[in-house]
Amino acid sequence: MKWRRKKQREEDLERELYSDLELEAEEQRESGLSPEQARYAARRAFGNPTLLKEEVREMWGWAWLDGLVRDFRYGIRQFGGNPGFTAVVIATLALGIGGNMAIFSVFRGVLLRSLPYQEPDRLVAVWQKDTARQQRDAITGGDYVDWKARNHVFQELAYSWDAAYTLTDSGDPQSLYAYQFSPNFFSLLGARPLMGRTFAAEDGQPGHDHVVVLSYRLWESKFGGDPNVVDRAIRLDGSPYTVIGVMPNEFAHPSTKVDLWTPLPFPNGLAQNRGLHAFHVFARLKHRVSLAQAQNEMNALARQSAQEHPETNLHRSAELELIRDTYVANVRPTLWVLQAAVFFMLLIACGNVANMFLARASTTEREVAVRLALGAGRWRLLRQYVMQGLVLSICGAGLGIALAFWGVGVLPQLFRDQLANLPLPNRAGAWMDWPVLSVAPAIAVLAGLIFGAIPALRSWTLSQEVLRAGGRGAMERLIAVRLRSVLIVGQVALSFLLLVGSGLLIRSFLRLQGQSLGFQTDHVMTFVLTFAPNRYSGLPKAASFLEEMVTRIRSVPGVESAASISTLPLTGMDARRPYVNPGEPATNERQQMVQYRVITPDYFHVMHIPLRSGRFFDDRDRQGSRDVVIINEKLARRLWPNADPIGKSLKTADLAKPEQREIVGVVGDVRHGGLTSEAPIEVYRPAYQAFWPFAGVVVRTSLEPTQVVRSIREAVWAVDKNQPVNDVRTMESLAADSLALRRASMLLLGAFAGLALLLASIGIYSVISYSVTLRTHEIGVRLALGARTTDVLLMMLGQSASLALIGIVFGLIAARALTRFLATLLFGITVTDAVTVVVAIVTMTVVAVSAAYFPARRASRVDPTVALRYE
Amino acid sequence: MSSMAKKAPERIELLQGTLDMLILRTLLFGSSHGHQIGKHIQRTTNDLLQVQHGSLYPALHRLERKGWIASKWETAPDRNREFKYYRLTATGKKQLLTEESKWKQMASAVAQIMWRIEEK
Repeated sequence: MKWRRKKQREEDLERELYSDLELEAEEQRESGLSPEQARYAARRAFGNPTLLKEEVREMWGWAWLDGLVRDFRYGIRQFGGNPGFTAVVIATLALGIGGNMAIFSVFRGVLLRSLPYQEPDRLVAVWQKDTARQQRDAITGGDYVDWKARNHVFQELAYSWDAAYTLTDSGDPQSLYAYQFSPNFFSLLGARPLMGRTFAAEDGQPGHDHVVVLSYRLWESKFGGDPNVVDRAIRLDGSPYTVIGVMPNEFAHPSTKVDLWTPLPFPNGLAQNRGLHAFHVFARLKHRVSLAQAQNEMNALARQSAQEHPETNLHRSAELELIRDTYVANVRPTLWVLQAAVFFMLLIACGNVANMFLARASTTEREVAVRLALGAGRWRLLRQYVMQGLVLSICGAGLGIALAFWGVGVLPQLFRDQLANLPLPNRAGAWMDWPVLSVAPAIAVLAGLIFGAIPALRSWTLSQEVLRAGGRGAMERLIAVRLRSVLIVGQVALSFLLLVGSGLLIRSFLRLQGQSLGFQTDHVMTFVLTFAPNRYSGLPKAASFLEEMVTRIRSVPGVESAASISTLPLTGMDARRPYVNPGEPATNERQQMVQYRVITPDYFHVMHIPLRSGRFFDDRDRQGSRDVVIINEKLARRLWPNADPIGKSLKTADLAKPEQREIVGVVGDVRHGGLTSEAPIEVYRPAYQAFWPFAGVVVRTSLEPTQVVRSIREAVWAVDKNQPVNDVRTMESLAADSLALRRASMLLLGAFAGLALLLASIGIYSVISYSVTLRTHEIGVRLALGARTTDVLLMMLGQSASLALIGIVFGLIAARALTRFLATLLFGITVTDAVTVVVAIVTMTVVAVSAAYFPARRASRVDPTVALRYE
Repeated sequence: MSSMAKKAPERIELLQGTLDMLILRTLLFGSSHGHQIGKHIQRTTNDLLQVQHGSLYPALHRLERKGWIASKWETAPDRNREFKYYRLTATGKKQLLTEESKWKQMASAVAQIMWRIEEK
C-alpha cells in the first residue's frame, strides 16, 4: 500500500517536472529561440533534474533512509567489484576486532568478575612472609591468636586449611578435596548458600562439627542436584556427617577444586605454636580503614611478634592481599600484556585500513571532483562514503564476533590450571555477554565513520583544480603521502614494540626449556592416593599397602618400575619440616625448614634422579631398623661444604619431634616446583619407616603411559578395593601444565607480533607502490638523465627503510617505557635483553625493505620514454 | 546547498523561510503551477529575486506536506495540457498572515539596525 503511494508520488513528480520543463522550453521558443536552443536553455534553468528530484524526495521524509539503503547497496556493489581490497580490509578489521573481543572477554571475565561476597574490596588474605626466602606462608596458630586479639583494623578474622575426605556413601569410594573453615568464615565473606545454611558458631564446638556444606559441582555430580539434600546423612572417612547447605555455582573459595567445606574448631594444641604455618587467614577490614592503614598496623604487630619470639618470628613480616588478588594475581600480568598487545594490533589494523582507504581515495578523487562539479552535495558525498566505510567495518565486525566466539572457547583452555581459582563460564556465550559484545559494534561504527570520511574529507579540500589540471593535484597527493607515511611510522613502531615483547617471552621460554628439572618426565604416569585416617591410621598399615601396591603395579605388562612419594613434583604441593643445622649450637637455634619427602625405595630409579654418593633406600630400611635419611646435593653442600656427609647424622622431624638420623645417600637436585623455581634443599625418608597421610605414585612404563592406566587402577584395587585413585596424569602433562600460561602468552604474543608485522608490511607495500606511481615521471627523468636502475631501486628501498627506522626509534622509546610490565613474565633475561632488541630491529628492517622490494623493482624498470609521455 | 559560484551581484539570495512566504503570497491571487509561481516571484520583484528550480520544487512539496497548499492536475486554459496546479488552503492563509507579521517585525528590526550603522 505504502509502496504504491510512493510509486505514484514518484510518477507525479516526474510528470510535474517534465510538464514545467516543457513549458519553459515553449516559452523560450516563443521568445524567439530555435527549438534546440530553447530546450537547452530550459534544461539549464532547471539544473540537474536528478538532483532536483532527490531534493524533492528528501522533502517527503524518510527519504534519508531510502538514501542510506541506496548508499549501503551501492557500497556493497562497489566493494563486490573490488574483492581484493574488500577481503584485505574485512580480514584486517575482523582480526583486530575479534582478537580484542576475545581477549577482552577473558580479561573482563577473569579480572573484573564480580565476586559473590559482600563488599569484596574490604576482604583481605593475611599472609606471613619469610623475609629471608621472600616466600609467603600460611599463619601459625600462635600468631593468629595474638594478631586477632591485638589488631584494631579488622572487623573479624577467620582461619581455614585444606583437608581430604573419602566419601564412602554409595558407589565407588571417592576422594574429596575439602576446605575446613572456621565457623565464621562464610559470614565473614558474606557468601550466601544456594539452599540450607552455612556454618553457625555452634558448628565450631567439638562434637557438633560433623556438618558439611557441599559445593555446587559435587551436589550436581554426586547427589544429582537433589533438592532435598539438606539434612541428608553422608559418610566421610567412615564417620557420619550431615549436609546442612549447598553453595551456588559461583562460590568457590579458595579454588574451584574444592568439593565441600566442613567446620574447623580452633585446634587448641596450636594456640601457642609458632612453627607450623597451618592457617590460611582472611579478614574483613573495618569501615574507613584502608588497605595501607591495615598493612601498617600489621607491620607493627609483626615487629612486636618478632621481639617477643625472635627464634621463630625474627625474619617474618605480615602481608595483606585483597581477596581478588588471591584468585587472579597469577594471571593478571599476562592478561594485561595480552590485552595491551591485542589493542596495539587493533591500532595497527586500523592504521592499515585507513591507509588503504587513503590509497583508494586518491583513485577516486577524480570521480569526486566530477560529481562535485555536477552539483552533488558535499554532505551527500560524505554520507555515501561513510556508508561504504560502514559496509566494510560491519562485515569486519561480524566476522570478528565469530572469531571471538571461537577464541573464548580456546583461550581459557590454554591456561586452564592457572585459572582454577575462579569459577569461570564454560560456554562461549557466557564469556561474551553484552558489555563485551557491544565492543564490536562500537569499534565497527567508529572505524566505519573514520575510514568512510577519509575520501570525502579529502574531497572537502579538493578544488576543481583536479579536473582542470587533468587529474593532477600534486600538492594534495604529497600531503596524502605524508599522512600515509605517518601512519606507516606508527604501525612500524607498534609492530616493533610487539616484536620486542614477544621476543622477550620467546627467549624466556627457550631459556626455561633449556633448564633441567633434574628428572625425566617422559613415560611416567602419576596418580594420587589419600589414606583415609580410619583405615590407614599409621605407618604399618600404610607401609604394607604401599609395598604391596608397588609390587603389583610393577608386574603389570608395560610397566618398568613404580614408586611413591609423599608429594608429587610439579603439582604445586610440597611439605616442609624443620631441621637442625648441626653446625649451630642447639640453644639459640633458628628454625630452618627443609622440603620433606617420604618415598618408597625405587623412587629415584623411576624418576631417573642420579645418586651422587652413598646408596639409595632399599628393603632394609624399615620400621625398627636404623633411622636413615637421604639428602640432596644442595643441602649436602650447605651443611658440609668440604666433607662427605655419608655416615653423618642430621636432626630432622617427621610428623613429630626432630630426631637424629643417619645420612646414607646424596642425590641430585630436583626443581620440585617446576622449571621456573629454584631447586630446594630436600631430605628424603623411606616410606616403610615414616608415615605420610597421602602419596603420589609414579610409574615408569615402556608402553605409552596412557595405555596402562586401566591395569594400574586394577592393581591398586586388587590391594584395596575401597582406595580411590585420583588425578591420573602423565608426568609430561604435569610439566606442560606448569608452563601452560607461559607457553600460551608466548604463542599469543608471538601471533600478535606476526600479524602486526604482516599488516605493517602490507601498509609499507601499498605506500611505496603509491609513491612509485606518483614519482613515475620523476623516475623517468632520472633514468633518462643516466641514473642506473640499481640507484632507483635503492632510492625506493631507502624510502621504506627510513620510514622503518623512524618507526623503530619510536618503537624503542615505547619499548623502554612499556616492556617493564613484562618483567614478571620473563625468565633468565632482563627487559633490556640486547639480543632480543637487535633481532627485532633486524627483523623489522628486513620486513620493511622486502615489503618495498616489489614496488621498488617496478620503479627501477620504468621505461623513461613511456614515463615521460605518461603525463 | 544550491548556491552557485557565479551569481549576479545585484541578485539577492533568499533567506531561509522567505521563499515559503513568497510562494504562499503568490498563491493568494489564485491557483497556479510551479513554473508560473517561479516566474511570478521573479516578475513581481523586478527580477531582483530569482528562484532556483532546485529550491522551488522542494519548497512546494514541503508546503504541501505541511498542508498549507494543495495540488491538483488541471488543464491550462491556454496550453491545452495538464499542469500540476497548487492552491492555498485555509491553514495556508493563516500561516501567510503569521509569516507576514513575523517578516514585518524582522524587517523593521533589520531596518533599525541598518539605519544606525549608516548614521554613524
